[in-house]
Amino acid sequence: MSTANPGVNAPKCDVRVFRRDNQDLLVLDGSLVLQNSEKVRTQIHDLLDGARPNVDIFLGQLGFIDSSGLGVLVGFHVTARKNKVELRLLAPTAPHMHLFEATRLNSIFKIMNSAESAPILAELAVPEFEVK
Amino acid sequence: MTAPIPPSILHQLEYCSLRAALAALGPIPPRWRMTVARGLAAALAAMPWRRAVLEENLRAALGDLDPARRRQIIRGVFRNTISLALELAWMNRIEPAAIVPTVDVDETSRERIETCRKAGRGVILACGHLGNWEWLAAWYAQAIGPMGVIYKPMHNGRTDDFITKLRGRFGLTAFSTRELNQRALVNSIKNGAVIGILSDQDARKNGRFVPFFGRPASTATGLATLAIRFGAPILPSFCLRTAGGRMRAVVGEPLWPNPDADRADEELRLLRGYHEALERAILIDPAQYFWWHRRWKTQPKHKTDDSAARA
Repeated sequence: MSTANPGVNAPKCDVRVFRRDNQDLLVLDGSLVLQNSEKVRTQIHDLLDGARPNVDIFLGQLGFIDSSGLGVLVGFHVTARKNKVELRLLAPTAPHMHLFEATRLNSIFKIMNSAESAPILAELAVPEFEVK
Repeated sequence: MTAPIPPSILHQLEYCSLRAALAALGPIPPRWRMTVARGLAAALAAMPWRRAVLEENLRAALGDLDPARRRQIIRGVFRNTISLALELAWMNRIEPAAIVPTVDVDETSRERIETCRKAGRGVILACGHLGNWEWLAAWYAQAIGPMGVIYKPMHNGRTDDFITKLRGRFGLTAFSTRELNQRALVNSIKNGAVIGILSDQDARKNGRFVPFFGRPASTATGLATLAIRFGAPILPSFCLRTAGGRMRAVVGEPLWPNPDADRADEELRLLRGYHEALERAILIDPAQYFWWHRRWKTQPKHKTDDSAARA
């Protein structure tokens, strides 16, 4: 499942940001595809400026990722590394993992499964920490 | 068909209390539900009843949380459980079609539902005790198409009849796990119906161990057995509360059974896939999960039991 569904018009990808102390949690909800990848890139890029040393991205609510979406994630990795930010991908689905494995991106991303991600999400994904 | 159990006085009382509660709570408008639930939860959350189970389950699943956050989730569990009761009371009053516009579904979820239905092999809708599972089934039957649910009958026959009738109002066909002749269920699947199953309760000695938040949990295999037997995809589906008395359907990636795989391995793969989808959905809002149940009550005797070693 590496391509966007052609039957869906203008897929959305909502980005929610939760911030607590030195940690940011980004929740991507929708599909990360060509039509919205630039918007998501712009929304998130500034968060990786190094002001917070830890940034986690929750993929559990993300459906399709196409090659353009994959490019966005790789871009985040590059920016994060440049700014000494530890970037982790949380709770990817099985199709996401197949995609990461097929492209060998699983060796560059720090990936945590849903069980490992649970404490992070439970602490951070709370309305009071959401950045509006 | 098993013989009906004559209702005891306790069961009669339980049934009458249920009907009285539904009559009293049903008129509460959807936009007030959360406010009422919050008020009642504040009073009930101070009670020690099953508190230890909640604490233990949350620790097992989410780790050692900040105490304030843990208290917040526990209050949320009370609030959501009360909301569930208020929602059932409301469902008992409304016209079935009124449930359709209350659920938001994103395009990806809708497309997953359609892909599975179009395969024409039936669909196993794998739900969980998250948000409002009855709402999901009722919405599905009204908005999408024919739907049945597999359920374990309650000990109280009158209450069980009432719940079955409530489901029937929304066009749901109920298939009891105690029914010996499952021809109706088989025919439904063969005709392409969607069958809902809740598979996230401790299955004691009869289950297979599947990792749930990293710990082995005994799980009934019915979900995977049906999928493998009929080649039907498993569609992990959940219904989460959102603001203003609305719901959001969260539909995970379909799990397609592989007919060539070893049956035992395939069962385990499908059950693991379902639990991973459930975990991801729980993480959206942990307070909406039914943490009252001792999911990890049965533990493997030996570390090599099923997937326990791999958990």
